[in-house]
Amino acid sequence: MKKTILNISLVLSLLVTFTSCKKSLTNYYNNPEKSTTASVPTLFTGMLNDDRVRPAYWNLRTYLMIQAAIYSQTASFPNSGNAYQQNDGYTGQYWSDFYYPAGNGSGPLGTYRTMEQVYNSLPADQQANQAVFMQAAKVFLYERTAKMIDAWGDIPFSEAGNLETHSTIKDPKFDDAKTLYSTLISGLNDAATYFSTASNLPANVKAAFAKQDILLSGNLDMWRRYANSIRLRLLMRTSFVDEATAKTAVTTMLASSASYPLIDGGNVGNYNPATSDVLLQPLSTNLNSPLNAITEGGSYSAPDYMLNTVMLPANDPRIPVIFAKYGNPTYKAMPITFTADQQENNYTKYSIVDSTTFLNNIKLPGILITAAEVNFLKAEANERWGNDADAQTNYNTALQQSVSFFYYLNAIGGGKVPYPSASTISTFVNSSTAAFSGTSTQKLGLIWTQKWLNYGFMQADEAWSEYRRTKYPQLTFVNQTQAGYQIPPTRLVYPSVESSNNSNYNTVRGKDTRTTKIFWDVK
Amino acid sequence: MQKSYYAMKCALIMLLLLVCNIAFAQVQITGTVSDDSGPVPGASVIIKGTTKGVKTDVNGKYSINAAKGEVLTFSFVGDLPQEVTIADQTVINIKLAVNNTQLGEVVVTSFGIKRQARSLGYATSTVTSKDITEAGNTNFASALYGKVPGLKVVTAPGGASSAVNMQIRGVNSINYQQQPLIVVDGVIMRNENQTGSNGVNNNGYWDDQRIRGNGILDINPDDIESISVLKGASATALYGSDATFGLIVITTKKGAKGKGPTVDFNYYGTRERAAFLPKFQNIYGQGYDRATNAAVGATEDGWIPDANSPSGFRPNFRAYADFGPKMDGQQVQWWDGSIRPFSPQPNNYKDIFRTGYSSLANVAVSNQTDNYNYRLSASRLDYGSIQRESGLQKNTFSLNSSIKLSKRVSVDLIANYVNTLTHNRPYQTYQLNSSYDGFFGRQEDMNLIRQKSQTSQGYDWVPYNQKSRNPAEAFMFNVRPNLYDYFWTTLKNTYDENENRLYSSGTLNWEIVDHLKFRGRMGNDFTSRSSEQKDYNQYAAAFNPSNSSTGSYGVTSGIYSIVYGDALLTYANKIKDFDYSVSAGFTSRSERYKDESSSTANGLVTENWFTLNNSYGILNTSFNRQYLLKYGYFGILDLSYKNYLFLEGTVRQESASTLPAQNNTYYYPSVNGSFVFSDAFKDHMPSFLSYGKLRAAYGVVGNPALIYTSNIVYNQSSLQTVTAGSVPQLTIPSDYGNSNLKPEMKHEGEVGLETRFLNDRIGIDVTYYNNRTKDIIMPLQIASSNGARSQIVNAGEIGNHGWEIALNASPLNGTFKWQTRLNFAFNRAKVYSLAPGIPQLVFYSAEQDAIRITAKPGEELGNIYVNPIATDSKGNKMVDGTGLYVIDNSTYVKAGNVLPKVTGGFSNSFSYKNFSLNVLIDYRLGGQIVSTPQKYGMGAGLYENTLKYRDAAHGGLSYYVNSAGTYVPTAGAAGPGGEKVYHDGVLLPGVLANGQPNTQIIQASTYYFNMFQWGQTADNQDGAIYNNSYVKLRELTLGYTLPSSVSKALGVNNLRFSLIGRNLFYIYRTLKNLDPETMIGSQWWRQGVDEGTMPATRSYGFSLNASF
Repeated sequence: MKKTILNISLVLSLLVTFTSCKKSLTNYYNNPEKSTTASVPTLFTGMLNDDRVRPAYWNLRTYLMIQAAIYSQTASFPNSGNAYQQNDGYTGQYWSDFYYPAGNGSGPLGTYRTMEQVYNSLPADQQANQAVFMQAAKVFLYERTAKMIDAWGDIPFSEAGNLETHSTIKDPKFDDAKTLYSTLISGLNDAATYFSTASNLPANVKAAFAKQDILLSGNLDMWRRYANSIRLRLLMRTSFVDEATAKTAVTTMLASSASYPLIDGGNVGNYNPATSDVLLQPLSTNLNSPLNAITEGGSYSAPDYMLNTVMLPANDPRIPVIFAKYGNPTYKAMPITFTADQQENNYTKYSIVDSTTFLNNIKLPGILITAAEVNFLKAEANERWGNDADAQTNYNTALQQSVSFFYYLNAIGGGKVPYPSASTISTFVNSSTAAFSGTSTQKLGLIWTQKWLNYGFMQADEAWSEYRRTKYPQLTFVNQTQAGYQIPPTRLVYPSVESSNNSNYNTVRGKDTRTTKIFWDVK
Repeated sequence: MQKSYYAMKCALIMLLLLVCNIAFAQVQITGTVSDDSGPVPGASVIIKGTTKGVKTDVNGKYSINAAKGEVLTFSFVGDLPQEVTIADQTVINIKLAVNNTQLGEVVVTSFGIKRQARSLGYATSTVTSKDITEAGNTNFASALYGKVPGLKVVTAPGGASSAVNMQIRGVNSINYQQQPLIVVDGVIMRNENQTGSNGVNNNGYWDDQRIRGNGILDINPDDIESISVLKGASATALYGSDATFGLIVITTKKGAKGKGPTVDFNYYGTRERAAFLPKFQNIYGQGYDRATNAAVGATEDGWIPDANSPSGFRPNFRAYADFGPKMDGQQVQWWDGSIRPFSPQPNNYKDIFRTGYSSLANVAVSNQTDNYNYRLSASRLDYGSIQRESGLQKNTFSLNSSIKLSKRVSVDLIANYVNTLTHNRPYQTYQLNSSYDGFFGRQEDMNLIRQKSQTSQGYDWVPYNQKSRNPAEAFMFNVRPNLYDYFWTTLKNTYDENENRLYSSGTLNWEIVDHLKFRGRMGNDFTSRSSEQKDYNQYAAAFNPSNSSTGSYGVTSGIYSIVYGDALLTYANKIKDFDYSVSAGFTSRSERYKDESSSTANGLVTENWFTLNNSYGILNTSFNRQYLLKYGYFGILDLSYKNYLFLEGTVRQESASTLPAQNNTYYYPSVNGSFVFSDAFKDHMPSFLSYGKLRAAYGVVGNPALIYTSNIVYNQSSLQTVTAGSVPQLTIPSDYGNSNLKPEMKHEGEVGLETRFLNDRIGIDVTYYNNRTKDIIMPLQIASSNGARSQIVNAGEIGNHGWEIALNASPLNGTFKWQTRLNFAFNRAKVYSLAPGIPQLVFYSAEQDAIRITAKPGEELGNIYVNPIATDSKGNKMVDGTGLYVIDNSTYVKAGNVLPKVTGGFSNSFSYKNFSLNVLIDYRLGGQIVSTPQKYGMGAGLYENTLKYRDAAHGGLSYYVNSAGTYVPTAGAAGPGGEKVYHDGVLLPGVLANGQPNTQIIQASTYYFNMFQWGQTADNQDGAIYNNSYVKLRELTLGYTLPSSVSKALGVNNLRFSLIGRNLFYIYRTLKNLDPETMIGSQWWRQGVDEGTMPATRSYGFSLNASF
């Protein structure tokens, strides 16, 4: 009897064991620290929270400062045999950060593909409520995509992110850079159109968008301006390779500012960048400044051409906020022709990047586009296709806005440099070497040089692109000693993380040299 | 959560059932028990099937009451037991035979099932306690070098706190190759699973720089009775996936039978020194080639003009290369401002390290009676690493006990407690070897650098461009920083790990009725681990930048727990000549890992106040949980015929929580058989053959993914924004999961022949095996544009085949004894196929992808491919206009394979009277390694081999430089225009693009500097790929046992003193500037990659063994 009860209880307990084990198996499958469900709004925030936009340490140190900033001379750099050699590992990380969060970027492409998947699986009524996130995400993605093309040319895009869309590996093809640029330009137009008509969003969607939009706080008008402005930037970038298309589109835009509002700071010189520009603010918990990124690589001396050739002769009022004298009586940049030993022994005698505005500034935002840039773009368009007076107005506004912008950066860094007086600015804009004068070519040169200055090392990638497109400012480069890398490249070569793994690489292998030019680089 | 424990409940229920009854009628039996050496005191006389028994007295006599028909069992340790059935006799004298042959050898197999060695159809190797402890190894695994055919052991440098990697029969999983499963007294040990698929120390420069340990280190070698190594799938199939990589079954020592409690004491003390260091050149100081010297502002020799130097010049302390001026004792200003002679310091690399030591003491008390036995042991290990300020203390306590509760029920209780304090776990010196910033001149005096790595105020050294921090002590000149940082980090900062580990088991053995046995076991392995890191402020707070400080404080804590249970029901009986047994079992394991970590951010506010409350920024903190559940059912059928023909079949169904639901349950079978032909055909065998056995086995083992690797999940976190407060964000995974992932399955077959000749004086054991792992799981590295770094997939099929041969012989058996063992293992790992669309797998890529370790279908696994020097259509090397070789970055040539071809060992034991000598040699032949630091070192002229061409004596060509800058060969003392003649020319044999032979002489330093520089344009094939074969004198032990008369007088039973030496020297090695064993990392291919670690060591010392 006892035994029977025992046997029964044994069998029963085994049964309980089996069923509970089976259940535990599936319960234990997923990582409890991670989320198994995806939603469009939170993915959207994740996409915007991009340390490839902010002046974060890794992005500055390993991407901008040692590649684009050197190739565009927006920062100084130590003379070494291989200064112009692209770092395969670092550029590979930047590349990867575009497709998935590889450590520093938010992976806009993969994130957008995931958002599309989630969005497509929603019922139609919910889709309508999420459309605003999708459109905004698209603008951000396209802006990032253009930077990829500017650096590499053809990139995988239309078929990229197959894991997010189909959960399987399928190497995407490399899309033609020029065609893809057109896609971006028209896509930005579509998005801008959407934002112009999206004012009647339901209140809950509006609130959710305002909350999750850590870039523009759900301001639909700003999103519209952002889309238009990036479109303007891309059109101008293609204006030498396909002038007709660019001219038509840009003149249409500029002719109707009501239909194509831009990030233009109200075309006021003394504008407020915090509310007018598209800036990705650091998180409130941030304590990291660009100090290490700039000092470690030895690029904190003032760049020669920028300070000595452009700013000092113009008595530029931005000098005190962009550079510091470093204990010397006057501002002066170290000659770019110095040898490594001369640099090491003499760097204390020259100006450096300002510590309040840049080195120790923990509030520095990530710059997506500024009013000054837009007005420089307008100036170029008007100078080439419109009238000279408009160009001058645009240029003067842009110069003043650039002054405001750098003083804004200085102020948020705790700087106390007083904003220059109206007369100082007026002298600088109207009667210095920066003043808009000379032949049309000279004027374009001024626009491009000042735009390059306005980009600085913070937007060294844009500075490098515009330098390659316009060949301004007229920089001289010291040849380096390493064979094959004597001069800066005209594009980045594909990082090995892509080229060695993508089976479609053969289709672009022939173009994959450091001297191949991006399609818009025709001047 | 509680539910998972149900898995063990059935075993607990069984523990509650203790039943027994007895009834009898008696006569008195007396007699003497003896063996070859005379009467045996302390022998057991037991009535079989009961607990009743007596012991023989000092004269071997006994007296016992027993009933007619009962069976008396006579036994004594070391003798074969005998049984006598009581008929009418009252005196039974017994002579026990010494159990000196291996015929009756018992092997502990899966689930602690003991089986006769002769019945096994698969290869096993058993290693005894003596082999493990003799040479004073601090862990059992590094004592297995060369002792088990087919087991490859690699000990990471760094000493007693560093991981030991074992690998059985090649590579069985491309990505999840792990250590063999280690089972101690039936309970699975945690080795390193909690670190997941990344393993430890696998990512070189970007990885954790400390050399980590693993669970193997917690098993006290002195507590081990024996180790069985089970290799093939059939042998390990019962443990399923956990034992895909082989199985190491450890049986700990039990209470020994004797006259009352016995006390054993063992002590091992050794000292160790850095050994097998690179052969540095000691002629030339810091500097570059002439052109680079000029570019940095130095003279063509590399001197920098310096008014404060008595010689007028100082060395270029910043140069990472050593192509500078000869070190002839010139008086120069040093980087610290002092004046010193510019002379070589040949031992400066060695002087980075100190003399380490290790001291291991063990005391054990044990006893055995008929009703219980126990062994209590306590050990203490003190270890000082060769890295300064780093060491370890370990206390181990263990209890192994067994209690007989009734004639049918016994309980085994085993508990081990290990407490480990690791202070400043050693660093890899990767950042010294593999970064130009870690290179230092041959003239540097390590004492000076060590002293100057801290200021007199205890702050970090002050670089030349931060003079304001400490004008008096700031360096005068720019230097390469890593060595100074290394000293600052290792000497000033502290890192302490404290680990408490308890692993224990309880086993119930219950003979329910005759022939039917039940065994239930529960075990656990629990670790609580904490660490504390203190990084001191590098300079006074006054010099802090505006938003941060220096220094940091971090703590981690981890709780790792494995709960294990198994139950086994066995019915065994015989029908005529057939013995059979049928078993059914259940096993389950749940693992949970919790890791918490917190550290200060952006430095310490108050200098050197180490608390989280002193964080400058918001604390970094994280907590991670990992759970895993595995369970399986299995059945075993054993058949044997006349004790010479054996067959065993097993089947196991397994479920694992780490796989997607539709694929998480799978099953696999195994079968093995053995045929002792020397018994079957006894009359037809030649007389010299004393034993012969044929065996064959086939088995399948499944292996699931590691925890969470196949999940498709998102990371959520909250962002603290300026505008909208806290905002949740979701980010997509960078390593993509796979909802269709299947387990990988290893299929393995083996056949073997065991023979012994001439009364067992010579033995040969040969095994051939062949295995295939199908659907190998691996995170496939993919093009980023797919949307992730990798996806975990079933990627193809790999396999190994090979031979294991063990020879042993006792050539001399008299007063002078000589025993010798030699073993070889040949293994070939091959890639059979890869999943569609995957042309190759790249495990490791270096030098901008110029070097790759790959797997390609149809090729051997682990081939090294490299961009070669370009050649023309006739095979001539191409030279460019600068006189240097052209590297062809568009093609790859095979440059080797990371896996060794042959591994094994050769051990010899000699004894003469009370002296014994053991010599163990182990070897590894074939295979290559990738060592990029070797290339960087050559490119920087660090090694002796770079003296070639640097002067006339070393084969340099004489030339002068004409006005056009061309190097013109000359035999004269000056050029035609009076130009200076140099003697460091080299003319690379090869052709130019136009097909003409190269005639351009270049400077030797230009050649090294360019052809062996970092990156893909260097000669990676000659600079970074090296053959790695060695034959090493691994262990040498000279022992002396005190005569028993002397030791008895001292009150000691047995006293032995030994001199021991480990890693004494290489009899042969192909690597000249690198120790063949410096590779660290737990993944198989990492064993073929050197990125610079600590030097290997040589150690010597003594041991003392006594029992009371």
